[in-house]
Amino acid sequence: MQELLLGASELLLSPMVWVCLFAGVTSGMIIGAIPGLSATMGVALLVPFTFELTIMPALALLIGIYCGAVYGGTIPAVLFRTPGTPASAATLLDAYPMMQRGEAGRALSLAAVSALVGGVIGTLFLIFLTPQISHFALRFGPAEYFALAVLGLSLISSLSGASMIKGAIATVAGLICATVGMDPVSGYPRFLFGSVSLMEGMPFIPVLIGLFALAEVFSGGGAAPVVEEKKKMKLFEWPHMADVVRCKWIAIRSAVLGTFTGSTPGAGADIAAFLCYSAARQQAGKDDVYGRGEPKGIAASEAGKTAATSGAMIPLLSLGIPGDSVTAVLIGAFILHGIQPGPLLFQDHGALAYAVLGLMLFAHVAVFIVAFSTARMMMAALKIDRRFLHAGILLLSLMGAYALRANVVDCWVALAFGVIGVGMRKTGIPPAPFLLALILGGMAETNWRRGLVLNDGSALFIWQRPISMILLLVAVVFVTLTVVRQRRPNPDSLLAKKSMVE
Amino acid sequence: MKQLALSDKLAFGFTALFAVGTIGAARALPVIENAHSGPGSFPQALGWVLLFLALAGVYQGMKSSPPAAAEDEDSEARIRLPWLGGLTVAYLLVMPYLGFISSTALLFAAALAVLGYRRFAPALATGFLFAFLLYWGFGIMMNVSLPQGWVG
Repeated sequence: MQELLLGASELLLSPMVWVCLFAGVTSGMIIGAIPGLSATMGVALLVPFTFELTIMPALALLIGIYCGAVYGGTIPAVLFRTPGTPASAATLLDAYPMMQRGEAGRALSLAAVSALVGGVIGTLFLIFLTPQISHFALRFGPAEYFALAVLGLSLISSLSGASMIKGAIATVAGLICATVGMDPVSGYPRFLFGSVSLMEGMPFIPVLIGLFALAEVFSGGGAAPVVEEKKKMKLFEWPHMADVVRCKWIAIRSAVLGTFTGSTPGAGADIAAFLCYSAARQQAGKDDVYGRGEPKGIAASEAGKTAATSGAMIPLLSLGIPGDSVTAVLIGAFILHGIQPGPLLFQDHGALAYAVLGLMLFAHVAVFIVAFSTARMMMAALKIDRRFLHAGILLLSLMGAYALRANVVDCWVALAFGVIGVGMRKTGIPPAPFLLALILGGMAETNWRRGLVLNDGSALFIWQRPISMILLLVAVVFVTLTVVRQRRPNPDSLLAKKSMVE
Repeated sequence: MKQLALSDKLAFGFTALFAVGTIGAARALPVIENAHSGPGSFPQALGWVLLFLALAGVYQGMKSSPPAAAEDEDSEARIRLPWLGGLTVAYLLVMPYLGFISSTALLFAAALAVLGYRRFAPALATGFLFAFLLYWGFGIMMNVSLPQGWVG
């Protein structure tokens, strides 16, 4: 063991590794901050740049991009209500109201600290629990995956805002949109309306761009930040000690939940962020104002999504199974450099495997350093004339949608969902449940129908496996708690009524 | 029974329409014999759930929620969606013929005009600068194929 650790530290001590790590983190943050450019795209685009590098600098660059992009999406989410990556959509629910109060610096610094906590805890899990968690996830069959999707959808209930019915409508509409494309069982094309481009399903990134970025530009006026005149916007802030103390347990809990979610194949940082945010909101105390600029909301989603990046590496390194789309691309990069991830990795290339674990840890620290050292520059974007900013976001959004497949259909999808997003805002239908349902819809349908096929048409299969049963029971408890909580009189509304009477 | 708020009328009306459309489209999908579920079964079930939710929303809205006062929206915000949406449609239609850089610069300048910036020359210059930057980033660095068109 000592030899392995010495070998790993030798690999990590090369200056080239550190140059590549910081270059990866910085470019990853830029990629993540551009709506439409995901971590997957960033890693995929830069894999060819690693051909000339040796394995460690190459992995440092790619892991740096991965971690940097996942955090980078938070910056436009906080500043412009435009999540750079799907995983940042949960953060904006509380970060943007904070920004509107003139507390963008506070929100960004809290996001950076929470991301560091999530990343470090997730990597510690990665180091110590890799084999156990991976084996647990390996036991998942259709029943468990379906139950996991149901659990994820049940969490939407707490994202529904004022009206649970409107939240449910957004969820079911998202599930219906997830059925566009090829039927997962029979392969029959569904709801294509003459467009072959939709055969692979509703393109997720253009939908995200439309619902959040374009809808923001189209609806304009009301969504523009309203910073109180008296309050001067601070362009750079160190983390508030009070916030760190207030959010520490939420961040730690979300990091654990995020790691577990990330380690489940198919569930990436985006699902982890929403899951952790919903779980935190479910346990809201009397003083917590989720959705109106609650620091705990930022801590939960940021810690959860960053921990999920480490979690996604667990099945990759121990079993050779990707935890999400980015790690699927990373597998290719490993193989490209002659390394086969899987159970034999620790046996055949022990030093390298531990060096990769170290890289993950240092990548999260590097994200923290770069996030703080560039915060002032990033915040300077707030000074740009909002008309120029909105015109720029419009173009960048369309380019982001187009660049995904060099297909103009994706731009039309983004535009359509931009208009739908404006409609949703005006009618009070929340877009976040729609987005989460779109992510989980494929998993739910595929595994439900696979389960039916495997169990001769009996729907009871979901109750016959202990893990799925537990997941479904948790989902039932979650929805019940949310409904009970919503029926309880809201202290805010009681106060409002009282003041009206007075 | 109270009257539904306009936003609720629109929300539940469109939801019901979407649900009926989904059910209709799902019913048109083939039913596979001796299979436990077909390509249309899941979306059809979701369509019925959505229709039920729309009706439940109407019932709940009429029973409890008072009609919300119409939101005060300034005239600039009201014209943003049709103008910017229309410009985007025109951009997507024209781009393959005109070319990426020129059409992007024009969209940028036109969008700025809609957003209230009336100085056309600086807007167009910034548009060209932005278009070149996008072209360099996406077209050259990332190798994304962008339309050349007649002008470029």
